[in-house]
Amino acid sequence: MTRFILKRLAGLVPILFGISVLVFLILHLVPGDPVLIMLGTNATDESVRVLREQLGLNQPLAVQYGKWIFHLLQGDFGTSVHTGNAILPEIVQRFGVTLQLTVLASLIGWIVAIPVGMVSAVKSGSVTDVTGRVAALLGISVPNFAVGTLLLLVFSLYIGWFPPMDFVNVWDDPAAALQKLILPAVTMGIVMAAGVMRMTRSTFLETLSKDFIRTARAKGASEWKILFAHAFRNSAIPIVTIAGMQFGYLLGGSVIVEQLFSIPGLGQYILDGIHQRDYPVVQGGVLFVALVFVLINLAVDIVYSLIDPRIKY
Amino acid sequence: MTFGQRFWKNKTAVVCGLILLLIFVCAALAPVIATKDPTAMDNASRLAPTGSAHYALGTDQFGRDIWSRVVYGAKVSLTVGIASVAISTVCGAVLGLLAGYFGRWVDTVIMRVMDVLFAFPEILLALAIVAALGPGTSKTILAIGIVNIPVFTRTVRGAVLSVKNLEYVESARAIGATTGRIMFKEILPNIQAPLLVQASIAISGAILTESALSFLGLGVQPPNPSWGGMISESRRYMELAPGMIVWPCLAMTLTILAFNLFGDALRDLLDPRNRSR
Repeated sequence: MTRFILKRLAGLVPILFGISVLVFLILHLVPGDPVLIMLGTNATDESVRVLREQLGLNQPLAVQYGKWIFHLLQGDFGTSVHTGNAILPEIVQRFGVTLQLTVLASLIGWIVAIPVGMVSAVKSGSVTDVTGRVAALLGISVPNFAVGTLLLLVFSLYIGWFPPMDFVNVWDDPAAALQKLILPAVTMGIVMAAGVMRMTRSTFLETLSKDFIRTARAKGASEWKILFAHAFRNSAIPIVTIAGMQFGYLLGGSVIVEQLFSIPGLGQYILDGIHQRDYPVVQGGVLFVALVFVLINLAVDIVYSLIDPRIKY
Repeated sequence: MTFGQRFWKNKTAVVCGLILLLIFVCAALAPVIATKDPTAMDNASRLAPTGSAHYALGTDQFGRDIWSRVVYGAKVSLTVGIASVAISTVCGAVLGLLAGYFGRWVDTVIMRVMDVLFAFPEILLALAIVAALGPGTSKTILAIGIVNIPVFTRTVRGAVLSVKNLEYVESARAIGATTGRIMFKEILPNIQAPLLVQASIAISGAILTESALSFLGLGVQPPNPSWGGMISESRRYMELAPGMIVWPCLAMTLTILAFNLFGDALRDLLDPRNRSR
């Protein structure tokens, strides 16, 4: 197990290198002079020179990359051009916010999707199944910002629940945090639930048609026991895969939902960075999310071997 | 049964195909079907409700006709969807063919680069590219096109691996066909099916990403109409004019639903394992 994790971590090195090169190049793909774009047209020659120096743009590309990665490895993501603050502490603090939102959204998604998907598979062809499938299909076809806007319209404006309020951390005031986070989490949860539900349904349908399920039925096991003791574990791998992937996509998708519900998370930080042409912020934020995404995929792989002892590395 | 006969027997495929055809016609004939200029403002009738005398679906905060904007929005969404998927399909097909056919270090290099692109959540990669290139329709197309290249490369590579040792490829090699001919004239036509299915599913994803970028103000720029942009603008007026959000949402959901179902049906039709049924 330890060997497998070490091997996977070693395999990540080229990917991480690639990610860092791509993120580094963002600044250099900017058409024109990024420094002039960042500072605006009425910047003084002096400030332009200082920022160019600070970003090291006078040096050859390879040297710039080397210096950049050297600082990154020491946890120095640079400073924001807009506010002058260090980027990494801000990212970490905002990531905490995004994580609260993503975890809540995932919980909502899983709690809805897995039981519905199982019922849908067991009672395949029933009214419940058809309703569930139509709902899931709508879920993957409606963009999350449209769902969010509609939820805001109905719940905040028409019914008057969830009035606009400032964000508070869940550990400071759980009730208030939940009230602020519930609508955005439901918005993200719906899209997630749709994907997980479809996967749960199709996997269970396949598992339930296997020979060992017939054997279990033949020896007289109750349907309940068949479903949870026999089918569940054998269906878990694809479900865990999609759940893990969806969790990663939620981190990316949170950019939109955070913007819509004004939640000061990492997504909003990146987006503000883009709008203010604060490239170091954009680079740091994108790099951070990509790192987390890669680690989630690694975690999913490790979970596989815990679920299925046949998988040996 | 031929493909055509099976297609007409599949109700989902036919219905979704017709809906898509209708949306395509609307988009192509936008100047005819839209009753007004989508950017023309009418100060006298701002935020008119759905069902007004002159504006069937009402107007937005500048008095622009929502029906015309939804129709032109279809044109924008389909243009971005199709153009970006065309980029991904061509690049993905070439890279996938190279990786699958040559194998060894060519395969390793190409697939490692794809792994790197896969390491970003889609919307984030699109955002990062747009952040560098700047907003606008053509840059949105490019960004979404790049984001989808890895999926196509993987699909094509897998398909190439499954056919490259078949007899017809071997016989082509035996008669002295060039590598290029084998890849593009022999293998490519035989892996059309997975490519086509992937493309029809990717278009719905591309339309979703375009609308998300436009919603964030980084995709199609105002005053050009786009569904995502319209939904974004509607937020401040949704209490006064719910039509501003409802109609673009409906148009978008219908389009994406039709593409998703059409792609699923196409996969069932083209999958050889389903042929006996």
